[in-house]
Amino acid sequence: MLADAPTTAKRDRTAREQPTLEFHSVSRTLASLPVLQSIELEVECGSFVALVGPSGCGKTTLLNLAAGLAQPDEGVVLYNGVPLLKPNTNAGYLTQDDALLPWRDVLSNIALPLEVKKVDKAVRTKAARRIIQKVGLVGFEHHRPAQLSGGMRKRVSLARTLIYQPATLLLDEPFGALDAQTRMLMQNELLELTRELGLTVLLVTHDIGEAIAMADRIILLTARPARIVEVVDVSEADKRDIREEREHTLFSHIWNHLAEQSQIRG
Amino acid sequence: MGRRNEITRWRRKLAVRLTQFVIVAVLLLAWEFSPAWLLDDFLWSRPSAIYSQTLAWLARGILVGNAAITLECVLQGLLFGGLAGILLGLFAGLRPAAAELINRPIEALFAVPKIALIPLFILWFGIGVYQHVIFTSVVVFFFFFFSVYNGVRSVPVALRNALSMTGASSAQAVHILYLPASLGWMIIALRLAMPYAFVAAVSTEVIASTSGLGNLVKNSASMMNSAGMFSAMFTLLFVSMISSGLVNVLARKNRWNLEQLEE
Amino acid sequence: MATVQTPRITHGLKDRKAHSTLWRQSVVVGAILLLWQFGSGTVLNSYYLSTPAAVVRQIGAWVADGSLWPNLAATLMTTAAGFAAAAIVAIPLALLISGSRFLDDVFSPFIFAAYSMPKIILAPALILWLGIGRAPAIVLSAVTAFFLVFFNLYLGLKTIPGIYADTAALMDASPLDTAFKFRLPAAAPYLAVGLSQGIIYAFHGTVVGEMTASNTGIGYLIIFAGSKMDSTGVMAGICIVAILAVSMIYALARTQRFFNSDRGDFDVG
Repeated sequence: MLADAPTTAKRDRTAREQPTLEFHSVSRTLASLPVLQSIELEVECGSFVALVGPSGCGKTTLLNLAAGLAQPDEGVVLYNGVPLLKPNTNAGYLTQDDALLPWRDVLSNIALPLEVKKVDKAVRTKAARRIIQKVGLVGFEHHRPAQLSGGMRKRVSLARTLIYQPATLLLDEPFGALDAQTRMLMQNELLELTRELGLTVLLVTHDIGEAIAMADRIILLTARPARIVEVVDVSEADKRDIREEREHTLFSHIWNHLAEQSQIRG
Repeated sequence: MGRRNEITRWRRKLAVRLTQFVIVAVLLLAWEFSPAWLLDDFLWSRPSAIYSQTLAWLARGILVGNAAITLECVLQGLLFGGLAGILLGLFAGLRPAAAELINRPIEALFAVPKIALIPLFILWFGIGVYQHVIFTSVVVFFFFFFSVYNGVRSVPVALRNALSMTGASSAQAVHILYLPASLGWMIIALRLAMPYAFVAAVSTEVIASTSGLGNLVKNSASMMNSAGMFSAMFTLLFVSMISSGLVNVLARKNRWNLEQLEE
Repeated sequence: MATVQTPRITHGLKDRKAHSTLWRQSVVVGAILLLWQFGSGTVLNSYYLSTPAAVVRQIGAWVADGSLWPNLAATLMTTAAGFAAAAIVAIPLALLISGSRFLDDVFSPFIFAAYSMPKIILAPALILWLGIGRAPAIVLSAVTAFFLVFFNLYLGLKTIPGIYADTAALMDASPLDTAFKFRLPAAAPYLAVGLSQGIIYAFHGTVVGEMTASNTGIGYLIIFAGSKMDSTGVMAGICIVAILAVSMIYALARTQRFFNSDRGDFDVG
């Protein structure tokens, strides 16, 4: 079940496919304190990778670098082989906060990325309606975010990131604020969607069950300054065990790793 | 039980209004009928005299005319000072490097009693309306600057990031995110600035001018027309309260906008 | 627009960052002063702004011929007197009015109405009644400061939980004791804010009074220079006022920080 995990995330590239996302010797320091140290990372096209680490270890910083919202102090982040120097408009970024414009309704929130790209109003309204159908928000087009439940707002955020058909999804603990049932629902829906659309996904989470259920590969990070300490392939058996809530070793292995790292952080 | 509470509340309101009425009535009567050795007619006037002076001035359009002049100065000051404050506030909010440079000087300038600047403005712009509007604008500027700056800075990081990811330009970001987000703050600035705009306009009128309610008060006093002085003062109080009241009503109607941002 | 999570920074690092900002701001101030000195007279007619050098010389002249100190003293004393008068009236009034629902309902509209009146408008009236001199300035200072001390304390007293007044009632305390031994201490932070703002506005009121109804004080110096079209004098006066204003605010901020650090968490229930 546990693959032989090298300490870097490099893999033998037999396929000629360009990895979607690459981190080469990436380091990042914030306010004179090192947050990320020598991160080597490759995310293959179409794969679902989860980043798991203790709180405050720098997972969000890593994701921000992957999104192009920040630049590494050392090393380079490549997207499709090209250095990422500004926010990546080919990637969708979903955070725990909904980040919806409260004064706009659902439809115009979702259509926002197309509005920025100066797409014609009729065209973008049609695209928005299509996405609304996909995420199951039909009937709520003209509601304001304040009138929606947490789960529905999350769908609006998701719809907004999907509408301009990104190739990559970056998720920062997106379902953290939702109740357990809604969370499971959203996880399933998201997984289906990413499979259907062939998206490359990088998910940051501290929910081990979520990571195992959704990801193909899990990357374990240390406490700050974060390094990659282990990479694990998730097998179908692992996922089945999570679904059936059986006692099993992948879960406890990762759990112990987190517990250890949290103690280091103090 | 609810009915009884309603009656008590209604009765309490009545008692309050009655007391207020009595207080005002007693003060007015005391003022009107107090002996000359207590309240010199010449210096203090009487309500009756003030009343007739007010009527005379209303007939000649003096009160309305001067009030209009003062109001015009206030409104223009709000407009120009507001625009300047909003633009600079947006600029400072969006460019933290610039903010570091200009915020401190602006804060320091705000601390200075602006009225001390009036003689300087007179040296520069003379004593006409031009100077009044400029001075009022300067006073108003600060409120809008700080409000919009804070409004921009308080936009949640998640929203800013989300907008960056769509590849929006600065201009688009201002139009789509920062201006609507700052609307609530701008209304707060308007509420705060209104009384100060009035004070600014009246101050310039008192110190050096040839028109406006402030000037009317000063002229009446210097001509020993105490009835006129009070008449003008009460008119000013009235106009100031009405405009502040209007702004408050406008603000309350838009409160939903600010509350929505608290999500 | 890079936005990332910031880990907690230690105190020493914050100081270092603040120092570099301070340095940069001093450079900006220095640049402005240089621009002022060399721009005025060449690019801009020196009538408008005078020059820093001339302003400093003027202030020196004022010190030399003995005209600075009396005026400075007058301004400071007027501020102090106005502030004291305002506080003495505002504190009991706030306690009284906030203590009774009925009094509150009856009198607050009057006080709010009076507040919305530009205080400067009293100046001509004060000249009529008190003549030109220190008295109108003190009155203006007091009236301006009054509202700030009053409103802060009044709102504070209305915000504190009723437990303080209730405890006093349970102990059968006299109205005076209830007010000064229970409610006032509970509202101390609000009073502190009110008093700090009160001093600053007392200063503002003083300047207003001196500029319109007095014959001493820094405010008067400014007006006097203005009437002579003496831009150097006006700028010199403004600088002195600015220095006084900023020092006052700085001193108050320091004092508040000092008191707040001793206080610890003010838990109002």
